[in-house]
Amino acid sequence: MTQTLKRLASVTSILLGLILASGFGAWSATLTPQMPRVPLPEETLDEQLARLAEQIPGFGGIFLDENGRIAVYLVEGEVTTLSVREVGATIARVLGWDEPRLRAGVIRILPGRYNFRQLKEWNDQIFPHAFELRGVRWTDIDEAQNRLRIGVENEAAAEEVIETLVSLGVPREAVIVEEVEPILPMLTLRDKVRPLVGGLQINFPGYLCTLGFNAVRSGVAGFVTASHCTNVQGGVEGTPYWQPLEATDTFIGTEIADPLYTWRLGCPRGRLCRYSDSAFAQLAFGVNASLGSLAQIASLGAIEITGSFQITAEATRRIRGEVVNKVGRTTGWSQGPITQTCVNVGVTGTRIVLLCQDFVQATVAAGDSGSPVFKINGSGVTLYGLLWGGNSSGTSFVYSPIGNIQRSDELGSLRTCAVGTC
Amino acid sequence: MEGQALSARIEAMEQASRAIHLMLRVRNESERRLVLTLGGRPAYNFLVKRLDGTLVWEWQRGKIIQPILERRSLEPGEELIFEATWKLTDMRGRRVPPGEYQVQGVLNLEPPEKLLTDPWPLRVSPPPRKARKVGD
Repeated sequence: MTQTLKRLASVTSILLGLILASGFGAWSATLTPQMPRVPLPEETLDEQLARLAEQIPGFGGIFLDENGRIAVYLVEGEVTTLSVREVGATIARVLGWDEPRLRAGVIRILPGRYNFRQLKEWNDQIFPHAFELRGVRWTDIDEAQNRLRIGVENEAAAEEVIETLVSLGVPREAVIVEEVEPILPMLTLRDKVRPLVGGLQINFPGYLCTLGFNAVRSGVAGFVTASHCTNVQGGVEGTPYWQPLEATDTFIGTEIADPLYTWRLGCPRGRLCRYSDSAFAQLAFGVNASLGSLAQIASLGAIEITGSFQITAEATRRIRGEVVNKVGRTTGWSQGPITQTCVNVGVTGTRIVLLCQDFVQATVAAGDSGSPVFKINGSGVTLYGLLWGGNSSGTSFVYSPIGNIQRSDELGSLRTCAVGTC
Repeated sequence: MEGQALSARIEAMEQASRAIHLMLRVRNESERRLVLTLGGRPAYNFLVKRLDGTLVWEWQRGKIIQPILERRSLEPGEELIFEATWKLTDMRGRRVPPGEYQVQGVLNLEPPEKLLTDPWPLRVSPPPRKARKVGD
């Protein structure tokens, strides 16, 4: 009766992955059957523009100005015999850009100082030397400024770059050297992120969950996650936490509060009850956490972090139909209406009943336990609670309301940054 | 996770006439330790379908699952056993008619992946007739 297990690989996911992996170019050109095809994969944009400069004497760059008009630099003194319409047609042909304004010669001509071929030559000369210097972040031919641009980390790096330019014989005035912020790969909820914010993946021995929100409890800084995201649900065992995974430099805290599930007034006979599935962990020494911050995500369903939401209030009431959000390590940002309020919920496979919980119709999956639930209110968010359950199809989740979490017989009063300044 | 190194076995034992005991056994058939990421608590499920594939009953239906991910190591030869009872009802609690059905075991892994056994045939027999008393 032994059977081979079939693995349900998600075809949709694989296809999506392939589509994303194929990438989208920064240059968006519409090709028509009449237009000659441009060998885009073989040529960089700078090479294309340099080729354009061979065909349009004095060409110094092309860009869309602040009003969306097509602007072209032509170097003063380098006389072109082409009419504006011919310049437009040449650009259209070389770039494979089927733009009516180019064909009609509706172009804004700007006086340039440097031919694009000259700029490219200098750029090719500088590029290998620049990246031998400490603190150089990027090099570019800026076609909107008809100059080279070099982004550096600080003033000292800028000075070194300028010295190098001089030694290579590149005119100083042809290069803009500026201090810029570092370019970082986009982090996801499953990466190491500091300072800690709500919505990130956390790990405790053998399991993965989501950090709910940072808080201060009885003067102790820490974070809240689900009670079932501890070594034992109910009771304190000093569960250690890492973010995102256990490693030598990722320890973030230790469980210090997780009230026991007990029989109490209103709890069915033979069952153990609490008003929230929540626990509190004390922040480890030296770990940076941002009180009041929840991970802000690029779009619904995504897990890439683009910034942070600030908690500016805590929900004092919940109304069926209100649209709330959650951010969790598996399904990222999801959103939907509250479908049921104050529901007493039995936890599958246990004697536990959670009292007065809310249901939300929104995506959830394994790993989202502990996610913060919130409502977006203009510039900030209102904290609604902590996600702890979901249905088998992953279309509905259950959360413990923030008011329940802060009951005196639960975690008690928490400072979440909802009022005052952080 | 190496699917080839695992096997699954479903046992379906009729308990009296009103329920079938279902058991999903997932076993490490390889000679080395495997680590499975189990999705949800509980991570297993059973699906009962008609022969045309229509879902009749699902063990997890209506249950609230704790959405936690568990990293579970499995030594060579070690087995995970998951059990449930089908009371021969559909998802609305109505008794299903006698006939042929099929059952599948499901083990949820890190979403969206899951392991699913091939369908296994089940026969639901008519309930035994009660003996009539003389004079009825």
